[in-house]
Amino acid sequence: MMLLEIIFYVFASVLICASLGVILFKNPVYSAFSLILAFITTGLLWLLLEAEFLAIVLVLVYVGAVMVLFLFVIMMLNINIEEENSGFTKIAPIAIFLGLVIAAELIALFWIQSDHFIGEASFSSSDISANNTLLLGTELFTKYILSFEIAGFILLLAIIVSISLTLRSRKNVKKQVARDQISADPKKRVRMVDIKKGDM
Amino acid sequence: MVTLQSYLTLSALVFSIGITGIIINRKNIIIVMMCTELLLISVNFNFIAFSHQLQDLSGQVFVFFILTVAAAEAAIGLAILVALYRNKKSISVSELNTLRN
Amino acid sequence: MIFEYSLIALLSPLVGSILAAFLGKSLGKTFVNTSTILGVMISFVLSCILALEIYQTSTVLNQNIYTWLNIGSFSFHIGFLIDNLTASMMVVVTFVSLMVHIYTIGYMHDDPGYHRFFAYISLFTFSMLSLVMANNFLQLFFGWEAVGVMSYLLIGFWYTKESAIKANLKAFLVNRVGDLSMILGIGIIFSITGSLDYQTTFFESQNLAQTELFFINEWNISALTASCMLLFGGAMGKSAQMPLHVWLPDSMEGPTPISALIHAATMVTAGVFLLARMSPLFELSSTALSFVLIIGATTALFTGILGLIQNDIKRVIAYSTLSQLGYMVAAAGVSAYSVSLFHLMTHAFFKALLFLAAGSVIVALHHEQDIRKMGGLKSKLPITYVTSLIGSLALIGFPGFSGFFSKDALIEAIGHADIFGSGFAYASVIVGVFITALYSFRLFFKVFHGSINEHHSDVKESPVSITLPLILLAIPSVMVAWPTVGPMVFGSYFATSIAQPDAYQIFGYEYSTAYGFLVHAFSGPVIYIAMMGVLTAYVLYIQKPNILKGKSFESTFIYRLLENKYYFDDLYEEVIAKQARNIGQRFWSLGDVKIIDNWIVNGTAYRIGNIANRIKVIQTGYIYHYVLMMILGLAIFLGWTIISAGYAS
Repeated sequence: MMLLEIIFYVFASVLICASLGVILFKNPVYSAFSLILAFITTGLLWLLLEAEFLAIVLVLVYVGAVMVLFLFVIMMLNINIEEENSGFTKIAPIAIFLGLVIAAELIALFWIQSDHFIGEASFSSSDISANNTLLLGTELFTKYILSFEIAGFILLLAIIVSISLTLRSRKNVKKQVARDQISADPKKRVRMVDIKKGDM
Repeated sequence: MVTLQSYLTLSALVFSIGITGIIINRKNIIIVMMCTELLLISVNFNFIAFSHQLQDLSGQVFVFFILTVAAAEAAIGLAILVALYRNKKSISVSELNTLRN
Repeated sequence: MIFEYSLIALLSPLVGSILAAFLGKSLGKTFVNTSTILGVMISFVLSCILALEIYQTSTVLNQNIYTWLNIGSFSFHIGFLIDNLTASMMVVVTFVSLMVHIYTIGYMHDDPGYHRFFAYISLFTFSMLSLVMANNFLQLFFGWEAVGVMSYLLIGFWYTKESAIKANLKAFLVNRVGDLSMILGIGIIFSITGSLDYQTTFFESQNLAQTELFFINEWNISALTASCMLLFGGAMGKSAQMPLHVWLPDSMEGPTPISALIHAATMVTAGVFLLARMSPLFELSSTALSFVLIIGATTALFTGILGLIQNDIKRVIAYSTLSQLGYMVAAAGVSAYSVSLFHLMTHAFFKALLFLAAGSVIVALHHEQDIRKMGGLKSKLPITYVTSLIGSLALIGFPGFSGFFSKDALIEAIGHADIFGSGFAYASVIVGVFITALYSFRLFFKVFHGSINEHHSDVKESPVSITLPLILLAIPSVMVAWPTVGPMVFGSYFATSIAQPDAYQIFGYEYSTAYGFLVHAFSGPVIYIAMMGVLTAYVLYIQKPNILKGKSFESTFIYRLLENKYYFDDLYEEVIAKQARNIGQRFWSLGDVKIIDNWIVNGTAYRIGNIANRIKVIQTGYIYHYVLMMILGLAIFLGWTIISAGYAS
């Protein structure tokens, strides 16, 4: 038990620090790395809660794909990070105050209604911890099959939307136009000229 | 002892940090999007904690879908960002004021 | 089977109308008249089958088909009540409608509004059918209003003509008066019986009769009498009874087929139909019956007299219609509902015939309607001449024609009655017979006999689509009464749908066959009076036409009284309309302009604009301001949740 507590508190502190790093670094690349750290820590904490599949998905999908996308965009846009940071100090007190208020409110909510949240986060070896992936898969492909399909469509939509938003047809680029090639008419292209011998 | 409330408190803290980040940032809209990811993660944290507490898989299924949609959202958001940058040559939050006029 | 047939019979004119209205312009005239005539013809054939089936099996279909809405414990239905009364009305309506449809092909041939006209008359047929097929007051009222609207649209069909617009507005407004009265009557019935269904209402009629309504402290009236009088008020508007008759003569501004269909054969008889349908209620109130009788008899006599001096061919027939409607209403007043309905049926045929014949004359003379400019058309328009003669003979009740049976039975029924006002009514209808004969043959002689006008020497008979309906209508005008008079008037044909009081059975005891009835009639005065009327007309307009010419006749008081239609129009115009306009003007200048426009409408808009101008500065357009506000809102809501959760625990 002691070990679990130590693990929890260590990673919780790392998570909070990493989150703070996301918002405090001036360079967005650092922020992104900080967010990656936060995701990995989160994944570890989820392992403690016996959500193994989701922990792995979080690391693979988020860190592996989404965060790489973020980094890619940051680097592609190449923002000048030396820009002077006006307004940051002016708005900071309000932002911190609001953040504290919300944190206080959320925590107060748990403690006021604490009788609903009584109990240790138990680590029993019950059914759902037996084979998390299998169980989650069974659930997804039976009870939630429709939602699953819809989620797939949403992802497909995301692909199409991102491509159509960023795709631009540039001019003065030499490329093949298959349509024109196929519909080419030899009669229009080649003019047959009858040359008489005497003309030469 | 690690109780449910510890997890909830942790997620509440992450959530408030995300909120603060959204407000505090004036310069770079990418940071705002990252903060949104932080918010989503904290919500997912709650779901998983409750799922574990109540021994019910539905919470994890929810997290699964939230992750899916969040991935789609990030992709589209970044695409919009790129399009925005092409048009305005800037992604500074404080310059996005075309809602007026 | 009855149910399906009636549903199809009801809806097929609607379908035809919709097709003609929406596709008519693009698909051409042939499509328009084919689709609408087919719709009405299906309806007619099914009506005939229904009438036969219902008569043979003597069943009554009373079925709800659709629940329109539920309010609390009340539910309003759409349903059918198909009995002998409904079935015979359906046959009459669809037959006349079919004839008019065919006639219209020729009459409206060159009119730019061809498809509109067909769409309207088919829609009218649908409305009229839904009126007669209703099994509850709400649906009745729907049909009632729908035929009113169609009448409005069709009177003003030539909407560029100012007089037509005025006439349709007049018809609509006068009908509103009647409709208001009718819905009040329905309201009384509904408030006491809690139902709009006919059956329930009739079942509760004793309850209605025993409930007293209080007006001014000592003066009270039973709910039954009140509702009957108010319902009859509606019938007065629709059936153009005095003093609400003023719209019908003016409605002749519409095209002639309309005058035949709506203002002679079907819609105006809706009031008579209503009286028959409500007979179980009316039977319990002798006050209401006397009221009905006196109004009907007055209308029968006095509007007939007005017909004597009219010079517009259609207006003469319009006044004749008014007078005949008065006869029907008076018959209903003496509880002889079946006679009233019988006259309704025969009248529908011969009056439609007369109108269509008049239309034929009008078309032949290139839209000339003044009978002073006509004359001698006998040889030019042979078919029209013969059919008009048949129609006129039927109208005056010449022995053997359908009008004879209905009118003679009707007068006899009034003669046998002994309720309050029946003496006056009997005298009125007897004099009315003379008047009817006089004006009918005045018109007939003036149009077809005498010297021919030189402008009309090239007149030709109308095309076959016009003459065919004339011939088809002439047949029932002569013969329809022979087989039907026995069961309808003296038998028990209407027993399932109409209350037939014992007192009324007395006058039918001598009846054996239609032929016997014919012979019996020669012992009464009616035939001779009618013949006298014809003779007078002959003397005045053929033999010695100079008697009525000259100033002395036209300057008499009576002539001026008739010329001005008893000053009804002036009374309405000077007293009611003027005051209403005055009050309207006041309300408009004070209520509308000052309070509503300046204060409520413009004032509100101005104030809002003012406030908006001041607070628009908070809309900065910066995204981060909006985000800040959202998060502030989140914080506030969370705080509120915590506080309420704290109270809860």
